[in-house]
Amino acid sequence: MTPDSRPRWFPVLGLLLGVGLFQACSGGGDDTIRIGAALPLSGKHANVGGFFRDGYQLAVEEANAAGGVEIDGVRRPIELRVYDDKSDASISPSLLERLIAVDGAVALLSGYSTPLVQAQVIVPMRRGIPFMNAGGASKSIFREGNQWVFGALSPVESLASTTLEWLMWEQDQDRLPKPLRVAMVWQNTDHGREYRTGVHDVIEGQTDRFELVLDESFEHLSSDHTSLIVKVRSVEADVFLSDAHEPDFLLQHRAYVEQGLGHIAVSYGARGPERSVREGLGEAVSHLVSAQWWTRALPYERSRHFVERYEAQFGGPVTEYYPAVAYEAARALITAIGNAGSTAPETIRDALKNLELDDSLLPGGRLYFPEESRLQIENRCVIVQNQPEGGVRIVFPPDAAEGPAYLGS
Amino acid sequence: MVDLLSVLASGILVGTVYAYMAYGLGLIYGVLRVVNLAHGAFLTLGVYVTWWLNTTFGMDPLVSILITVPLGFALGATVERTLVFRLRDSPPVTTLLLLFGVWLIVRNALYLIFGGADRSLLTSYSLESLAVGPLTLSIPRLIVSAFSLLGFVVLALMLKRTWSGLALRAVAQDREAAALSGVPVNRVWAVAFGIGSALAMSAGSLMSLFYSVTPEFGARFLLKSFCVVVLGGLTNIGGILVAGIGLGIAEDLTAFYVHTGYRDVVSFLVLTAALVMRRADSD
Repeated sequence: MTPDSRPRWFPVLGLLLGVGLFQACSGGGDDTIRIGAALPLSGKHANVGGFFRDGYQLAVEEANAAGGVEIDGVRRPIELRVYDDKSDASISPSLLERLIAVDGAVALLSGYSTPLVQAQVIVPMRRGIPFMNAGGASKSIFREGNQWVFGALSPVESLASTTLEWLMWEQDQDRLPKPLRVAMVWQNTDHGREYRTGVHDVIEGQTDRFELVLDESFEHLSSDHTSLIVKVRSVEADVFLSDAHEPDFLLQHRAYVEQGLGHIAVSYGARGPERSVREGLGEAVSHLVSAQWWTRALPYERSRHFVERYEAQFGGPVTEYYPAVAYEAARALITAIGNAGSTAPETIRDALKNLELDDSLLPGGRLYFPEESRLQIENRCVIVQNQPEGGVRIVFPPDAAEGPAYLGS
Repeated sequence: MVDLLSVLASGILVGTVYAYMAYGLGLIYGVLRVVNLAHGAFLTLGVYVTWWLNTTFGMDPLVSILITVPLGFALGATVERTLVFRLRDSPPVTTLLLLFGVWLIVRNALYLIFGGADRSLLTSYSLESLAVGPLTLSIPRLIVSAFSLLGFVVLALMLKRTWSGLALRAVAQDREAAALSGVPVNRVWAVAFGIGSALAMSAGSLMSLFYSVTPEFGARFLLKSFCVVVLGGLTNIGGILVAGIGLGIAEDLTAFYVHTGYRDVVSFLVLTAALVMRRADSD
């Protein structure tokens, strides 16, 4: 047979073989239910990305160990497919496209950090795929049009509002004066602005309890915080509240200590319990109070189960909230797929809307996605205080508190 | 009054840090007429080497300067000999892009080796402060300020009193005339780039006393270095010191009396004003 006389269906056959091989390689031919995530496994958020991968993976392994999920009367395994977006918001959306179009993911889990999640969310919204967000707390992610984003992380406002609820509770115990003079500084980012909103929302209705004596923003990655701390000193507040990412927190608290300031309570939002923070500031972080989306000492059965499983599998004490929230988000998604009994995106979305996990490891013990907050969970956070010997103690809410907070003078 | 003094003191301490991290940039521009975008890479390498030596061997950051200075010199001279030298007659933008590439390579290599997490360094004096009358001054910042002033004195003496300094100044003034006078211009370029890089790495070492260590460290401070160099005079080491202190004071006074959020705006206003005035002078 000369080249010219080759049958014309040869190229078609080749194409079909190629597609078949590709399908086989990507695993698209089996009955596995695929969910996916683009995570920052390298780049500036690599550490946190690893926590998310571990949390997601643990939930998937548990589901598979229990026989997978039942779809049309048949139990099918779940596969988690993860790509590394290198902490780059310009790469992340294309990886989600790939997860949906090539890998056949029926639902997606989020990456980490508000900017990355904001970039990601466009893809599942365009394709109508449910998107479970465990990595961005900003309300901007849940704006109008992003109707298929389900948030397992309470809004940033909750960090502020729970901190003030704790202060009010301490006032009610006669451990704090009324009104309490509050100095608040906040990072000029979405995160910081929402923290400020949370503080204002509470304080405006509690003028007999609080007096806001300083309300000032600062730029992210500021080269020095001394002048800001001098300003905090000059207003003679009882309580100092700040919302800062880690590099600014480290520099700001360093200036706070150097200037010899002392308040009844000091809180930097969610900052404080991280191992890296103690490495950088040592005992100077003792007694800092922080609001957390989760902490390992929460007295819930599910939380204890998670800590045991996680530490057995990945080692070391789990000191960060990231893997716990990631685990819970993936568990909620898998439960919803099972409840839907189908892999059709619209049925999974409906199942997520109706989902209610009463055995959640999150503060409050309940995970659901309320319509009134655009499907973002609105649980209160948990307030912990760094202990001088290391570790943290839960000081609020009262039903989870491990003991009273240390209050400065 | 105490607040004003505190803010002024803080501004001076911050300003001397700005000056220290900008000396190298000014020196390299003065001699080579090259805007060293790899300056951020050398600052970052300085903090990482110091952090690594501290966490691995427990070495104090102040001692680590004994390593970062010669290492910075060797790396800088190598970059000049192997890369910058080859483009010496190319348009300035070519060298600019080349050095930007060097910075990106270093930054991404650090991401690959150490990851992107913020790291910190804690010494016995990290959080210590000194009471001077009503003022409280940070010991680490005082140390860096002392090094900054020492760096200025050593650099000024070297430029004025040594043959190498004379050669550097000669090449800075007129490269061809210097070459005709027997000054080994190529070697002087390598030395200038080496000294500039050594200064940047030692600044990084000292800044690790209070700033987080991340691969983005250089990006955080490169623009500020440019502001100081442009404000102080592109080739004037004394001007850089004064500009650094002036900028630090202006930032802190703005932060305290106007709004903390405007702190960084001061740098960019100053940079813009300095560029416009220089352009007007040259016209």
